[in-house]
Amino acid sequence: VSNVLRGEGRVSDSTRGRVLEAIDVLGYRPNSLARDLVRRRSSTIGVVLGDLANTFYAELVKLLELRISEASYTTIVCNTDGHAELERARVEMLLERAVSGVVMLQFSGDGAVLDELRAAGVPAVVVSCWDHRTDCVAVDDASGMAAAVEHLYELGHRRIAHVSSHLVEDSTRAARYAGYEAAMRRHGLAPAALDFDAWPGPGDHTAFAAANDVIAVALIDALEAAGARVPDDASVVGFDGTDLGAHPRIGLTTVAQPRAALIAHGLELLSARLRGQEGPPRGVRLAGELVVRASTAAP
Amino acid sequence: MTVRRPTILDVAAVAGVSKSTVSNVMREAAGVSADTRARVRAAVEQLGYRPNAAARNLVQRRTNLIGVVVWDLANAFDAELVKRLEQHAAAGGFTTVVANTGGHPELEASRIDALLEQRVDGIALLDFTGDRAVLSRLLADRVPVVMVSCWADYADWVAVDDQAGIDLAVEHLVGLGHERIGYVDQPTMEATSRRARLAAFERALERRGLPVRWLFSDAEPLPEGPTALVAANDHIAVRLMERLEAAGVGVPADVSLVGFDGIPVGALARIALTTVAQPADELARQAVALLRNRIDRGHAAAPEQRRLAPRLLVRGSTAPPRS
Repeated sequence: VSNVLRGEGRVSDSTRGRVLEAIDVLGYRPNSLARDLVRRRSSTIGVVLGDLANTFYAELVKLLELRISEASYTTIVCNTDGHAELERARVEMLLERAVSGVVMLQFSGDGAVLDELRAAGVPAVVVSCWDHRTDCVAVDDASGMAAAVEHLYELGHRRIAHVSSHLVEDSTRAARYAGYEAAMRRHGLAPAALDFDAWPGPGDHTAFAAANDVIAVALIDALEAAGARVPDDASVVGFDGTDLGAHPRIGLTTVAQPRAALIAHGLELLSARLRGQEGPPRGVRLAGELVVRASTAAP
Repeated sequence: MTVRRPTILDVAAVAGVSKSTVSNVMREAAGVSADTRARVRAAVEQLGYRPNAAARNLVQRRTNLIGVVVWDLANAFDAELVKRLEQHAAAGGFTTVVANTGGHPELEASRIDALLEQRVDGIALLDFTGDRAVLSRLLADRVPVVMVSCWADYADWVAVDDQAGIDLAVEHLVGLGHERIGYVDQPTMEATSRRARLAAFERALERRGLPVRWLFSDAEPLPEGPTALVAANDHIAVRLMERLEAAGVGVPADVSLVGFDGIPVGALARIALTTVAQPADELARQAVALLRNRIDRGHAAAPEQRRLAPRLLVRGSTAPPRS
């Protein structure tokens, strides 16, 4: 019976037929725990993300869960709310559950987490943020953000601020800021980084390159609550390309990430490791695409 | 790839104690001297030993896993519920396994099978296709189940009071002077709430002597005639706002619009959706409590069913009808 279930060993067709029929009749369900105990692995993939309430990640998780289940794995989704301590605790929990692999949709950059995964022999892939110490696939944050700045510059903006928040993980925030800063310097402009968690107000900036769509949409809300109109008085560009930003009432100009390609590449990297592929970490960069809508205009 | 993980035997050897003593220390059982306990802990620390959850759970017959079956994570309300369920479950020592069904009955059945193969301790059904066979089998197999924001007579559930919610929406529109009120839902919406909200809407109009004439799904063309629309959820309402305005129908200038759920997007000034808000956190908290009760007490106890009160949030998408 065990051989039939595992699809192993020499079992005649008629025996296989009888076993499968009996399984059908009895409603027998193989105990995956007992099976995992033998293999010391489960058929589960852990997914770690910072904020399920951010529609970009909700969309990614939905896609990811679909692809993972097509490969006959189940998904454990863990939300960290962007706290590094929670991230470590959740990865620890996933290891205790003997997951086969881990997909991190957001990663704090905590090296201890990677060490722990490596020590346990559990492959991990970071998707939609970058870390050279592990397999990862991400949009090219720096050139995406530079494209946003270029767009604002061409419209005539010179006082352009970058706006981020604690919900953007460190590596992504750094990369997007670097792209912003490089583009500003290229035009001889002074960079300014604003923290949306402690929003100081727009100051004398006429345009804002936000680190993601959720911040951009909240920023539009805050600017307009304070009496400024977008894009008449201030332009706002987001990053991610969420459905939310595409709503005509929002009309957010944004740098869209190729969501399906991110997931496809990420799972490809992970399954190579699950098949036992050795070698140094591989990183894949995908290009983002500037989508111009109604939240940007000449100053 | 295959790094050998330290086992309980390694810990026992380093600490110079028996395997069962290590096990007693790990389970924090009584009857181990402080000195032995300290030696075992030091060995655990030194080796980086992690008790195998699968082995431990096989003994305890518990996995501390809760399966969460959800319709559509891209619906912000579903995502919010999953997030809050996960938080309340984690606080009680449970881990959640999420399965997204996309509203397909076949997927629902196969995802639930996958969860059962993981030997989850219980399942939270956030959405239910209405396929009684799926639920009956779960209950017959004595799998603890809690239904969240959907329901069935013979299961534990916690849901918002849909009827009261729809009545709040209609009351608000009638108060503004609307008499021609339409209702919009979605064929792929979760079945029990879809039926309940639609029935509640019809009753609310009939009770007030208003015509029940404009009932349609968001896959159909927009109807002519109504001055106000109630949407079965915010996800539908926000997209409907987009469709109406693309067709040159202003909200609320030409048509007032009320949603249901209370997703954050509706609170943005640009969207300003008047809506019937569900108490998401309370739904999640009570769902986890009901499920834990069921897991602990087994199947003899009668089903527990709770209705929570919704709240009307009046924003900018509703106004008096144009005279």
